[in-house]
Amino acid sequence: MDYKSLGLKCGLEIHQQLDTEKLFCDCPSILQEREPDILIKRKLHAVAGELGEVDPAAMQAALRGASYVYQFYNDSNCLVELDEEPPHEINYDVLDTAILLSALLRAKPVDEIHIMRKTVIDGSNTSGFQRTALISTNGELKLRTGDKIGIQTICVEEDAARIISAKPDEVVYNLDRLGVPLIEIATAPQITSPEMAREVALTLGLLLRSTGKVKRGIGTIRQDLNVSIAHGARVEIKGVQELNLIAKAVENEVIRQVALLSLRDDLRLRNAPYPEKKFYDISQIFTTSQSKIIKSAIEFGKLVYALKLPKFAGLLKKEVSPGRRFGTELADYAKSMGTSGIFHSDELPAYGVTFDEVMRVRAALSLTDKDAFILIVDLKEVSEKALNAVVDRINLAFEKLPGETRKANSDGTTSYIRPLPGGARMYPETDLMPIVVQSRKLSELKKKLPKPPWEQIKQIEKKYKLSNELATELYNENKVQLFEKLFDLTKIEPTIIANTLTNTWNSLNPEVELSAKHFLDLFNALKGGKFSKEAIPQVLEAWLNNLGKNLDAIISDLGLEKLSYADLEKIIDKIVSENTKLIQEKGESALQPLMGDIMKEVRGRTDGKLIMEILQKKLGYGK
Amino acid sequence: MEKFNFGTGDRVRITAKQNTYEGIVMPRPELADKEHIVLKLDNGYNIGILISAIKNVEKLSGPKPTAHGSSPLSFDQEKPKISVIATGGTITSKVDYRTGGVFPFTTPEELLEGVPDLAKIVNVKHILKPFTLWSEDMTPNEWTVIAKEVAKELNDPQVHGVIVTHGTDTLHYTAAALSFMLKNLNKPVALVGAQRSVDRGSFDGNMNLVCAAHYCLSEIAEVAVVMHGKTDDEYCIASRGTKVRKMHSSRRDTFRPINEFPLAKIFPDGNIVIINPKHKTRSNSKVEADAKFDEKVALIYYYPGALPEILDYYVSKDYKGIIIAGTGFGHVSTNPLKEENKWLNSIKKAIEGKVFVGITTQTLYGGTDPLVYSAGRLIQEAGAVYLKDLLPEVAYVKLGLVLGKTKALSKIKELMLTNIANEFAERIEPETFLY
Repeated sequence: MDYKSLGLKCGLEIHQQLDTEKLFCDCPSILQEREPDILIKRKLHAVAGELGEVDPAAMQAALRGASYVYQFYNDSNCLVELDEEPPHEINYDVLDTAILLSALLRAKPVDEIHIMRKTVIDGSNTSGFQRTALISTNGELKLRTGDKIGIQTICVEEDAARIISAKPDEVVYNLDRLGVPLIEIATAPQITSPEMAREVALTLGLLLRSTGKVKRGIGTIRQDLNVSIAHGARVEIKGVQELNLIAKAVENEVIRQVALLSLRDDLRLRNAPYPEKKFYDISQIFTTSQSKIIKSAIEFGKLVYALKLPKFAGLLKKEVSPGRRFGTELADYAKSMGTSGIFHSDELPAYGVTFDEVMRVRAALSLTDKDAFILIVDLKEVSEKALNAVVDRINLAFEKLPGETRKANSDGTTSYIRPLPGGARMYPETDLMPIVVQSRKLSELKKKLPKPPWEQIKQIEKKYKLSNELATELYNENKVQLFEKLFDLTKIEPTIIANTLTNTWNSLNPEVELSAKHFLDLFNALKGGKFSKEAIPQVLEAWLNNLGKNLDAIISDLGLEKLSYADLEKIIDKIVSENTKLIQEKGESALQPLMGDIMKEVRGRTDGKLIMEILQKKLGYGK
Repeated sequence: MEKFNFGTGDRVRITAKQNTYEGIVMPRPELADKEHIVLKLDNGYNIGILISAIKNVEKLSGPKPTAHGSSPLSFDQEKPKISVIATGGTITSKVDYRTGGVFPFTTPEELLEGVPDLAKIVNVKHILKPFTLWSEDMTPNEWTVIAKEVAKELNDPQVHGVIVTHGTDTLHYTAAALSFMLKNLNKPVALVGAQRSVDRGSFDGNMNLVCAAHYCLSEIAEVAVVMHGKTDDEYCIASRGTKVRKMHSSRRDTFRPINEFPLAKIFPDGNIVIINPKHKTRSNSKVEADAKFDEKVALIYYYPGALPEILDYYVSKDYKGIIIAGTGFGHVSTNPLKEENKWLNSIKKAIEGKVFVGITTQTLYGGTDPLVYSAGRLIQEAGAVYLKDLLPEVAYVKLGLVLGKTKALSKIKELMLTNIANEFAERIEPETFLY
């Protein structure tokens, strides 16, 4: 795709949790998995004005005057998170880290930091606001490619409570995360390709990690994207968790905006009329429906409502991003009003709705095969709200793309959650005094500054002849020290060690940590020829499942003791003799399938290279 | 500043040493240094800019007038009438979100903006504002003013009850004062404060005022503090004005009944659960404010090593009554290693000088008792009067009022030990402790 001519503009906002005490109290920032110690029930009274960024379900609940239940943990929380005590002084560790980071990004610190209250009314902050402060502005990030991206702002702020569940009248939040320090970095919308977005996120992530103060692991860094193309609209994509999804998310958003623009042209070409906000109760047709969804909904007293879409046939199934159709987009809008989804004519008959029922709906609405329809099965009030939202969205489709807040899905696509937020209401935190930045002694802070991450990575890369990817992985996962130690003690090929510590380890997705001693035993056994390097994943996995067991026992249980040369030759001879026909027919290209058969047989008990050597010799292809 | 010619509210572009900023000039926080100015940027953040580093200021526009639109909310004339006496404090303040400044409000409609639910319960005819003070700035003189206003309102047959809004720091002093001053109390009087400011979604004054409004419509004709019963926004408790104290500097449920149960739990939906049936009920009597307070009263907090010369000082300054918050059962040092720490002589001298000395306990919970230890016996023998379980602050307020009536020691003693406004818990139930 030619992103330049499409006019792609993208900005990135990173929220990184710090591994320190909380921002405005002295609680540790540990997350809890056990049952809470206390439950506290609160109400928030409506504060008029802008709404800012809120959880949509919680927002709906807030507007109805819902109760909030807060899960409180004695070892993660104190009166501050309960909004029962004024904030303590700001955590200077966090402040200094943000100032340091500003220096790394050449952002200019403000002379005096003012802590602000940002109104939040979805209950995710017990106080009804989030504390936040602007530290610096107007910086610059230099990428490896030489590109430069402006850094608009660097802020510190408190993380919100974790939402656990949202019912219409009660929202449950866990307080463990409330108050955990976040550093927020916002770039200018100067990113011009998906790959560059990934590169910016990667570099900022490395930079953050180089401070030595950040938390690691899933959920500790949250990336939001701002994406638009020419004639498209600005879309905020919230919560891209993985670095690898960033480029995908940008790419998919461009695809989506292009598709929606072409849909608009299509609509104009068809001369389709704007749909009417008229909803038909056609429950009659479905009284004996075998569709499970409809049947159970009707049992709950819900009704089936239809919306006519003249000249829309085929448009609802138009793909707007991989696996998502225009109908899916409309379903998101319906869902944001509290219903569970929609049926549309481009996908029916399906979901137990029969051809006969579809025909009866068409007849009841007097539709031709050029027309489309949408069904919603819900209570009258909800259906009307949802259908209104759908019609409003469709009407916009004739004109332009709506600015939206969307959430990142795990496959790199996004779903609509709410309109773009208005400006957040911010006013001073009157319980704290402004802080003069000069007093933080930047020059002394700078002395503590480690080498930039890319230099550290380059150094490992060179010294151990690792690929840049492996070196980066080691750095990202904070495993450089372990890697170096294991290499010093075993002198095994560095790539094998690095690969085991990163890719192999991550593919096993283990729930336990192994000590350095475990890894040392593993590599010593490998070095001692007790198993081959191909068997590392197998051995690791078996060991992780049975950590109490001695490594030798694990290896022998797996039947992985290395084959002797003679035994290996026997196996190869056997396979070769079984495949004489294949060898005659295919000649040298029989090597690959034979190799596969032999590997299966030896199951990691020897080196692949050795097999190939013997095999080539036997068939006369060797050097 | 004058050099650049701009002021608060102006939109400006400031060129500083490292950077250029555009925004609106904000007022500087009180007591902050004079070396910075505050600018609100377009992204909503405030920042401080060092004045000496400013190279140039370009004034882009003047201040925008702040909208003071009248509130669309109003009370329902059909609802029962109550009166509100606003004395200041967090609870009756509005926030200017632009500056963060706090301003007291003046009309019933403004009260409704903060607490719209009030309109569903009562009709606040008008809000009386005799003065606006933080509660630590109040003096007994203000108690007198409030008592007179409350009495006047209570004697209006249309008024069902009175809410007094008040800063929380000394709310319990005022509660005690009103309890003693309002003779023949006929209707509920609720004292209400807030521990969280009204700018937040978590403003606690919202539920406190709603519950206070319900209290005003109840049958309980007592002066009570009506505030959160626990940290949850579930119910308020109404605690008797003479048996209540601020027990936490910041929590919502700071006001706790001492040595007795609260009068009632009051739920925001109007449900009232009576817990302590020992209370007066609504009547047609005429209320009088008996509000003469003699300010020559002092409250002394005893501590190890405290010298009795403090007593001598008050006596020399012509004080007529002194309350000592003693240790445990109500003790001060009577048999120390050093003679100068011995309080008995000073107590005797005070009594000889016709100064009343009353003994209370710092433990707050439980009563005083002169007989358990010899110290108590000696102190009592010296002439000090043990005031049972009277809270030190309540004893102070009561003594000032008693001295307003009589200076005769025997009469003072008699009145101080007479249960006038249920200030003595005659029997203390175990579960009242740390209620």
